[in-house]
Amino acid sequence: MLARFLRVLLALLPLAVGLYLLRLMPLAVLGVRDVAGQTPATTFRIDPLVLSGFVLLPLAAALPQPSIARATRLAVGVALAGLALAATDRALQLLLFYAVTLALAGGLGLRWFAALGALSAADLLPRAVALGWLDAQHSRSLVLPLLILAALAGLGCLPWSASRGGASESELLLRPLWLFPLLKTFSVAPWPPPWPLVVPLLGAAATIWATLEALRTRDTPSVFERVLAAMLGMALICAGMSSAVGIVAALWVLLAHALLVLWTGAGRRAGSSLAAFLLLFLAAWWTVAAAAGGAAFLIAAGAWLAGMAGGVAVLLPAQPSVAGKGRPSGLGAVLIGAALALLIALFMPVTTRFVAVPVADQLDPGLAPYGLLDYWPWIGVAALDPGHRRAALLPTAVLAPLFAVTLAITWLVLRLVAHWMARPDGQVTAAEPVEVSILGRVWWVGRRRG
Amino acid sequence: MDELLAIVGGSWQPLLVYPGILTGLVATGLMYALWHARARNRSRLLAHFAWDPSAALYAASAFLFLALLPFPRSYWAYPVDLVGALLLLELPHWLRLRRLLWAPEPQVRRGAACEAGALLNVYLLLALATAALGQASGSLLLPDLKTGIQKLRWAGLVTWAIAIPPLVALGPWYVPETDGWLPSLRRVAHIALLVALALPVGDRWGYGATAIGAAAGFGSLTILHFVWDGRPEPWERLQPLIAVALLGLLLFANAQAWLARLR
Repeated sequence: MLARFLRVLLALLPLAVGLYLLRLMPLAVLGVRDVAGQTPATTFRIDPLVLSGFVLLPLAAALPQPSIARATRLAVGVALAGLALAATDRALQLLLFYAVTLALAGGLGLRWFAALGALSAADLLPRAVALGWLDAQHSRSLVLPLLILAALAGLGCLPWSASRGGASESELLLRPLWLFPLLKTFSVAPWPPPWPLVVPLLGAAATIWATLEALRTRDTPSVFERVLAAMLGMALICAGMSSAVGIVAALWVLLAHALLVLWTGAGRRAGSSLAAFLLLFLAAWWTVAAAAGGAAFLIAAGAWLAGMAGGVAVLLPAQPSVAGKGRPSGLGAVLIGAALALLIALFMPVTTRFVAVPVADQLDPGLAPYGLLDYWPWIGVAALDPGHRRAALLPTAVLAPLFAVTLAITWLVLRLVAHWMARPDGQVTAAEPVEVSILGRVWWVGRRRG
Repeated sequence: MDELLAIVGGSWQPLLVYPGILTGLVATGLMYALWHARARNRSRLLAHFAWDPSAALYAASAFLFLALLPFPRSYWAYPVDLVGALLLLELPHWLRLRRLLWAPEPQVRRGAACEAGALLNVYLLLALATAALGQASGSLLLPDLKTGIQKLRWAGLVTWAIAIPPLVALGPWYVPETDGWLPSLRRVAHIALLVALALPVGDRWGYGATAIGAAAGFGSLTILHFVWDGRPEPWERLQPLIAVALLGLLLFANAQAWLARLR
């Protein structure tokens, strides 16, 4: 009993600390204004990006572990990762990344080490060769491409199979960490010309590929691993748009990813598919908004397709042996999904205002005007194009009461109608799981494996 | 908060009458009567009206979707975008399809699998059509999608229109086992979306524009449903060609903007 309590406590401790530190956000906003353009004098610095990382990283890792030793290692790893985000010195940051690797040794796959190699090269190259880290001449520097490579590998976007890439659990939980070094570059200067175009394209290709793999894969853990990778690909698209709405969108995608990790127990159980579909939609909508704000509608369409196809992969029964877990579980699953949707609908604009917008303001020196953000606390959020015209709008707080009214009326009418009609003869009873060949005619997905 | 209350309080007309619940019910009833006039197992179809919370969820989403469509004389201060609107239609439908994939009757399971395959197949065309409509108008908001570069807009609308039969299970894609009043409501909503996007901007034609557009849309698709008794495969073989053509058009239309961003 005590051991179980300790395991839960250790899983929740980093998240609690992160949420407690969120109260420093107003001070962090002021701090960013004070030191704008100066080299920070302290070893660690807390700014809005770091504070958001303090919540997003432990949220994905707030899963009870099977043993106290594993729970302790994960908590230490998450704490070290948080410190690495806050470190101002690049060498210290790299050392802390190595410390995370040591703390979680055995639970990390090839993706983590590939990303760590790229990050090491990005941090050490400017010291070995006379290269500016990210300055006026950084278009010729290798640092940014290396950071992008680290993000691509670390976020799980590269199409490696689980056996080669390793979907080890600790690595799966800490994947969002690899986006933060890339986001930090915006606080220095804008990205040089090819990258604001190349990164969203790379991200879109990786996202769609991961979704197709999720559709083609048969066992539930692999489906969720690929869907989670697709979500992180969406975060990379958002960051690559290098706009204010892109940064906010990337943070929302990371939040949706963390909630999906929690919800599915890092892919171990199917959870409520309705909630999973809604989280995927949330990620896809923010990606669409970021892309539409930058007038990249082809990328927006790709994100929508990835969101829908990923949602379908989550909804469909995977394989006969595990499909029982994915069975529609009735009203309970619907209620949980509805509660999640309602919470997000009501609090999305407020959360955006107090947590995500300060991050976008902090990163403003590196952002382009292709995509601005607009929000109304009790209405919703919108992405604006450079001419301040709305490109995408999700009035969640308006839709929620309207949907409630419509649902109440429909409920009433259906009950009245059903009172006059006979019930169907064949009640749905427990059926044997069936093998369904859905993908046989879907030309753009390809054949199922296995 | 005041604005939210004002919007909710002022939206009873679009929500309840036009183009929301009442219009949707009348259109669905008309389509149902027209399509199932000669159906032998009418009692089975009527039995679909039996009480079910998920049916209420499905119908409520479709009615809200209808109310949000940018028809003439219907106005929203904060209109929803195409991505959010499509979720209202597609998520309940997939939940229903998933339930049908677990039905006890094998023919229902097979029918649901067929429908799911056809639906997934056509999503690529929908995504490309969305990109074309968005590129033409520079925005994804439903009322804004009615404006913009006409050639690109019509390319998107035509692609959307030819994706409609598999999308709403018409003609060769019709599966009697999975049919009911809920899929009929979804058909009405999808056709209404296409009609709303194709109608000219503004209220000059009033309700007449909606009536004429709806008659044209429903009429042509009903004729197609009853006349087209061919196999779906030839059309499905054309899909990659249509997708590649639209992708090429989009890349061509986008190239200038992207080159400008590169510099």
